[in-house]
Amino acid sequence: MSGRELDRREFVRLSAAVGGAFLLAVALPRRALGMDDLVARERARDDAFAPNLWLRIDPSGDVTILSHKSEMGQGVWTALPMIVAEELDADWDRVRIERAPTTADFDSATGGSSSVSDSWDALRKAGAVARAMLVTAAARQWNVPAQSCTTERGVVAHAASGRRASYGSLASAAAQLPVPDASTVALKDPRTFRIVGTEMPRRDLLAKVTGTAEFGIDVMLPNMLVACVARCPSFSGKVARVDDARARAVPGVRHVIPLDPVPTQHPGRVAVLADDTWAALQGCRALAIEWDTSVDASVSTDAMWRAAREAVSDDAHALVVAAHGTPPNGADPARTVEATYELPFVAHACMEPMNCTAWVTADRAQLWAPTQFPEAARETVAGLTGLPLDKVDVHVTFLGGGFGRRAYQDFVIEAADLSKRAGVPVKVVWTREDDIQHDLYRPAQLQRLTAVLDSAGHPAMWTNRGVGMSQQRWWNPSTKTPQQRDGADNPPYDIPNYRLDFVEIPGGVPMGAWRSVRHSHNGFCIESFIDECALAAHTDPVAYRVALLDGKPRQQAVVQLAAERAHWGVPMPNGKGRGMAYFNYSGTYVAQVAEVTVAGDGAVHVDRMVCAFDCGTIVNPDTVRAQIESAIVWGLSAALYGEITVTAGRVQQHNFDDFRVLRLAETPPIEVYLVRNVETPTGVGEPAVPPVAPAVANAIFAASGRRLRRLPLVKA
Amino acid sequence: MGAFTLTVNGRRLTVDAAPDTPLLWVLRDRLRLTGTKFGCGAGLCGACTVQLDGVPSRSCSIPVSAVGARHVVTIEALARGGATGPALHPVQAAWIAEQVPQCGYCQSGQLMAAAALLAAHPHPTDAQIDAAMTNICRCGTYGRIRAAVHRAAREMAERPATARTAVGSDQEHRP
Repeated sequence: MSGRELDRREFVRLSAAVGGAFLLAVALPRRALGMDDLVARERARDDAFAPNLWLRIDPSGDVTILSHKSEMGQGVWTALPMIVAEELDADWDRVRIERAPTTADFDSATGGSSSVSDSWDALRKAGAVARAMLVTAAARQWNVPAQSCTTERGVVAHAASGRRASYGSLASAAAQLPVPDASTVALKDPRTFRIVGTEMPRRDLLAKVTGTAEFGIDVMLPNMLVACVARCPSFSGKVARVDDARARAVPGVRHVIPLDPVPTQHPGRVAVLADDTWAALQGCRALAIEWDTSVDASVSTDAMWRAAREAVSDDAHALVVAAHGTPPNGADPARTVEATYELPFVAHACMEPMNCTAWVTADRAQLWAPTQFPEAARETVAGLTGLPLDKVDVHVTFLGGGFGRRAYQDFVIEAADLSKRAGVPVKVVWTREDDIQHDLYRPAQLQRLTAVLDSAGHPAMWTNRGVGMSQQRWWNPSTKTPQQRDGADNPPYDIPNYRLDFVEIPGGVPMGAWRSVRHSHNGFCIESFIDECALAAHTDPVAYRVALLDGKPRQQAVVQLAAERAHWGVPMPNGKGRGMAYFNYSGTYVAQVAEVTVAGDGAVHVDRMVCAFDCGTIVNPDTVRAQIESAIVWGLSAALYGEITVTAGRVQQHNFDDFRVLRLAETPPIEVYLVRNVETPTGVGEPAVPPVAPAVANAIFAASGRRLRRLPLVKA
Repeated sequence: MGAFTLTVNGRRLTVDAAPDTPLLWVLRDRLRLTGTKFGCGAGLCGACTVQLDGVPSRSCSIPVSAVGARHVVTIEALARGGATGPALHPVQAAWIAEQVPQCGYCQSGQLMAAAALLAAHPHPTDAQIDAAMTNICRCGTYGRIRAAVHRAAREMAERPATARTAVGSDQEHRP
């Protein structure tokens, strides 16, 4: 390849490999996470070819996918190799996935339900290119035309002569061949897939049922100290005074290090570094600290809701996000529907508390991190240490849950900072209280929706005003675009006239991406409101949605499928009801029906959840089902119980006793119905979250006549 | 500090630790048995569940000084070792058959709770599963956990020899 002008469209290339292996480097499309606060950086690079995935075939016949996508429970460690193996015609039993080398320039963000959909084309082509090269190698050895050779399960065969050669035996010869232009390599007809679309057991489960899977919190290095950190209880406060004499007296405590606030990342803190975790925790408890929280004195959720309920009428400060035609103008009050919905702050509460291990020396930094975004971790630590990027390595462990929380760098900064100061490897371990009280919360938001219905009862004019603190403002105080929203926040129905806007109110609470990001707001508000419009139009909520989705057969089909499987329309006893919600999540179509019982005293019990789901081509159906089940339980926790409240900049919840999440006994039966087709794959991990809350709220209305417009629906 | 003699996964050993050190941190930091997880530190989530004399117990809330002579079994000893590698406990096999874990972080605790449930109730009802399986899973694998407990119960009924050594007989378990 040397001396040739690099082709920017090129995305596969042979790499040097030792021991006769065939190593194909693949450049997957680069992507920011789709998170408002992270997308600002321009990700285009000057170098045309920046591989971020490798496909290796060893002489033994083992096929290894080297990937940077983080496995956080969503199953990418199984789904991504399935795509390559399909086009490669590999023997699935010989295909493994490993972490890619960390010193490479890579794009590694895992989030936004994007891993499969973004990688689909590139991984298929990479598998097909590798297969073509193996076929060419065999054809040359046998002196037969390549077109006369076939492949199956890791073998090239020539039927006429009966010759067969394993991929392993062809690897070193294939590695000497030029890489064909990917556009000339034929991809399989999806109807002939034999791996994609089948139920493949996950590759990470044996380790996860035997306790041997290594999570970030399990990392141990020689001479490592464990750090626990006393954090200022308010978001942006600082240490006024600290007396660490008793902490230093705790056996095993080695260092006590005060840490200044880091804007957008941390308040002031005092770190205790010790030989083990318990000593560090005891050291923290022995600190006598006077905090200065005056900067946060006015930050409270009560004040925020008062401000939001006032600001919703503040037309002068509304930032228009998207508008078309004539918005509702009060001209026809008889046909106007209006309702206001409120969603509180919610924490992520990943099961694995935040943690990171760092070893920073004068000429190198190494991180062991459960992170969704190792590339950002590298850049962050390079900036913090002054080391060049290629001297910063990130070893990504398994993630004990991600959900957006682990795309952020606060825990990485803390570990690197402490290792640099202490001169030894340091593992920072957050407590659950740290996690609940110093999260980056799903933004609280108020939405007021107004619709004017036409003669058929359909919304002809639509306004959606969002009000809340600005997530963008938290990350960038001088932002010119504080609005939380974009055009994707419009309803998934064709409404000829609309206006979408946002009124910002004073902030102070850290906010971040939370599984399904803005769509957790949009799902609840829009789909509750559509039910209210259906009521005003005297139309059945399912029939109403199907009519609004006229001309969109895939969307209509999921609504009808969920309704049919939930026995929509079959009468229910008093106190029980069904609720429908539909959502279009960037091309994944999802409909849910909740069944609930509302007792005489108003107590709500969710009895059943039915979900119909169309994400195009399905790579691993059981993983898709598992992700939907997961999203529904996640959505129920937030819909029923999830709320973070703040007084004087301090979160009032602490642990799982006062930040309640769903447990097994409360989890209803969940039925998932997957639509099978050969459309381009779209996202899976998040799309089933947004419809949960509105389906339940709509079911509560059906059961009791009570319209709940504020989450959580049940006080914890 | 004090010296505490424990029986962990069938092995007797002595650790020097502050008496109030939770068993969790002795297991993880001293004995390097990191399959037992830290989740909340307050006995609320169950990620740290181990068995003490076969009883599922939240090791984050048990001081090492209170363990006494009780036999501690962790996830590392749930599978019984053998010449050809670990033979999975029926709950582990059922967890794989039902493809339960997602992120996997809570599953050690879930498995220890499930194994103890099946030892006490070989054919648990859904209500017994509700009562016994109180550990938190943020990935929401609860439906599959329920199915896997029922599956393991069936498997153990069909292979009673496996069931008898399921839990509580920790001396037979290799660390």
